[in-house]
Amino acid sequence: MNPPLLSVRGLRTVFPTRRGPVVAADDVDLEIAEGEALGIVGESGSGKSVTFLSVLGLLRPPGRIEAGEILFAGRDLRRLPHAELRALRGRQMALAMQDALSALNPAFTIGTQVTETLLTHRIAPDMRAARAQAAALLTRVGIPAAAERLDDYPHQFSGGMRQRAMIAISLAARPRLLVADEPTTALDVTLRAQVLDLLDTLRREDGLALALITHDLAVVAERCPRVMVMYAGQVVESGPTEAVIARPRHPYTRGLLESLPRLEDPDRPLHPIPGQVPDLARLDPGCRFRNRCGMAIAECAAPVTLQPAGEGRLSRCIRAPEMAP
Amino acid sequence: MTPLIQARGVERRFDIPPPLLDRLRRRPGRVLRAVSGVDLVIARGETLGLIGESGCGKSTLGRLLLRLHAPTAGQVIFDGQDITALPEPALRPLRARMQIIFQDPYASLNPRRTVREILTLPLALHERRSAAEPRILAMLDRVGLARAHLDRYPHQFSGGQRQRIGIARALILRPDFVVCDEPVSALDVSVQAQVLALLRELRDELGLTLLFISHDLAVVAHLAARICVMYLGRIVEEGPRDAVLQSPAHPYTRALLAAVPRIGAAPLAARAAAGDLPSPLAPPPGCAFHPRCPSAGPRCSRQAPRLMDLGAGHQAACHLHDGGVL
Ligand SMILES: Nc1ncnc2c1ncn2[C@@H]1O[C@H](COP(=O)(O)OP(=O)(O)OP(=O)(O)O)[C@@H](O)[C@H]1O
Ligand SMILES: Nc1ncnc2c1ncn2[C@@H]1O[C@H](COP(=O)(O)OP(=O)(O)OP(=O)(O)O)[C@@H](O)[C@H]1O
Ligand code: SF4
Ligand code: SF4
Ligand SMILES: [Mg+2]
Ligand SMILES: [Mg+2]
Repeated sequence: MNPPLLSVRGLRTVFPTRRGPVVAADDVDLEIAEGEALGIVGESGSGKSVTFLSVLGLLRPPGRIEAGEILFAGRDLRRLPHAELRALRGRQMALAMQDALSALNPAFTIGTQVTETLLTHRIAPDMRAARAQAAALLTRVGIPAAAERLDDYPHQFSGGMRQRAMIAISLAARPRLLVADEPTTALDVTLRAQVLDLLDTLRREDGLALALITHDLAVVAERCPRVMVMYAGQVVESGPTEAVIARPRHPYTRGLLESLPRLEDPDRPLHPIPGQVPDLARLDPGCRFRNRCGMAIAECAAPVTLQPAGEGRLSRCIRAPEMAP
Repeated sequence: MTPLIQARGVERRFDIPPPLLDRLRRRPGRVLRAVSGVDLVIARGETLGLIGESGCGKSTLGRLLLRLHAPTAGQVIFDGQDITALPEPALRPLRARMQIIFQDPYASLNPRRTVREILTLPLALHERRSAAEPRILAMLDRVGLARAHLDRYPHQFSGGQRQRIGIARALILRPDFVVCDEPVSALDVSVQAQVLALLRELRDELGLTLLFISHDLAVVAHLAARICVMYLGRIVEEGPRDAVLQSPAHPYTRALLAAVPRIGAAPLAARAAAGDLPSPLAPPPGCAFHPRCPSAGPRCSRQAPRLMDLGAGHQAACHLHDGGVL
């Protein structure tokens, strides 16, 4: 296999807060190859966005990367000179916040927002070329009569068109890695399926590497061959999606699966995970899922590391072997 | 079963003021028909699930049934009484019997009031104060909150706990009918399951009649016995849950179902309904779905389909079931 396009080892991102430091991403390892899609799931506040903002260099102070290695196309981003880093980050890695309404600037036309990216990254030599390319890009993401709509403002676009325009802008610099961060409250199912279809196509045809951050395990099941489950700032399980869903090796993953109503079996009883996520500013060194875990034992109060749990799989649970069938 | 709530030909228009420039030119504003010609019956104790894309009129319909919006045409009948034009004082005793649970419990809870105050307010409006305390405590316990939570403010709770407060507020007057407008959409999966389980238990225990609105079909299917599908202000399909899910009769319902991601099912290639929801200010003529419909024929842009009875309480508004699309 090719070396991964993105490889993160031991990432640790901290926010100092009044109540003490919050380790929002703790010892995170992940890899994404060209043309691959990694799904990232986990409860709100589990560190999904912080992890990828750290990778993309978009973390806002006081947030700070304290440790770890971020390799992109073989280069260590944490050691790269600032200017080089900026060029790389603007151009080869992009973030698509799927909350399109807030991500687009209402004061500028859609055309201006796309051409700006094309011109800043010198993908188009002049305005004329940039407009032609912008129209082609918008057509590609499924905006009908795109050339005629370049001078429309965001409010003149429908929700779905804004969504697609947003993706067009994040793709303008032809990034090799796209991080798509879904909003908590999902979009319309049809609209969302259209956006995901588009990302699938780009992945297959252009070899785009995709990190899809979502709350929806079913979306990951359908769209991402590999999945990473986060809980309270840590990766608790990762591996091939099919295997993880069929035979989870972490009680949290299993809890998520049993909490999910399923359209194909609507009367299946739900088994909610009891309790709540721990306060990240008040953690002890033991397993963070301990207060909600039905399998917890005394040993779980000691630190737990991410361990191999079968073919291409990792689990942060000392009882993972017992969960194997 | 007797109907608890009924809508007959209900319509709600909103007047959209013209943009400033047009106003100066004295051009008239436009009219947005958020809900048109809706007929609906919910039997006592039944849960009706309402689905459809953003902006199709789900919340507006829910509010019409509660008379939080006045219909611009048609009738709303609650427990045998026509409440369409009932003035507010006459409506008040009925208000206690009709409640709503919102999507965003934070936005719908007054941040400056404690849980105790939030729960006392509806009781104070409708009942004597002295009876309040024991009922509040019982309700708090029932939704899984502790006595210690009584004097805290909404911001001191997690999203799931806030939704429990929202549920307690809606149920404290022991209503008959509750509109749940996306009640679990803002919650994490694990918390969502807790709240869904709670709603289900309370419904069965208190014999509640629910209109359950959600864009998440799996959530709706888990709770509702019947499912109603809206498109651009109209009901396009309605029927028993399994009939709608397993043999959807309207092309829009089929598109919607195909777009739902499923665990353990192979992804279908390019199955998303093409195009966007058209603007409700300028709905397409004939069948409003025709610009996106893979089965559309010439008749579809000329004539609006009627809601046809397909038997066993299953209805759909599509020419395919009424003589064809030609
Ligand atoms: N500016 C900040 N100051 C302090 N803590 C922060 C800040 N930003 C994030 N955090 C902490 O980092 C944690 C992880 O946040 P993150 O946004 O990555 O979660 P997430 O998994 O993306 O959640 P969601 O699904 O809600 O988007 C949160 O619990 C939060 O407490
Ligand atoms: N007070 C109002 N004034 C003007 N237009 C309104 C008003 N309330 C709703 N609308 C419009 O009516 C239509 C239906 O809105 P409604 O909120 O009922 O949709 P919905 O199906 O609940 O959508 P969502 O899934 O996004 O909540 C929309 O086009 C909306 O913009
Ligand atoms: S380590 Fe212990 S507490 Fe943590 S998930 Fe495994 S069994 Fe549960
Ligand atoms: S009436 Fe015509 S356009 Fe409308 S759903 Fe039926 S086939 Fe499609
Ligand atoms: Mg996030
Ligand atoms: Mg709504």
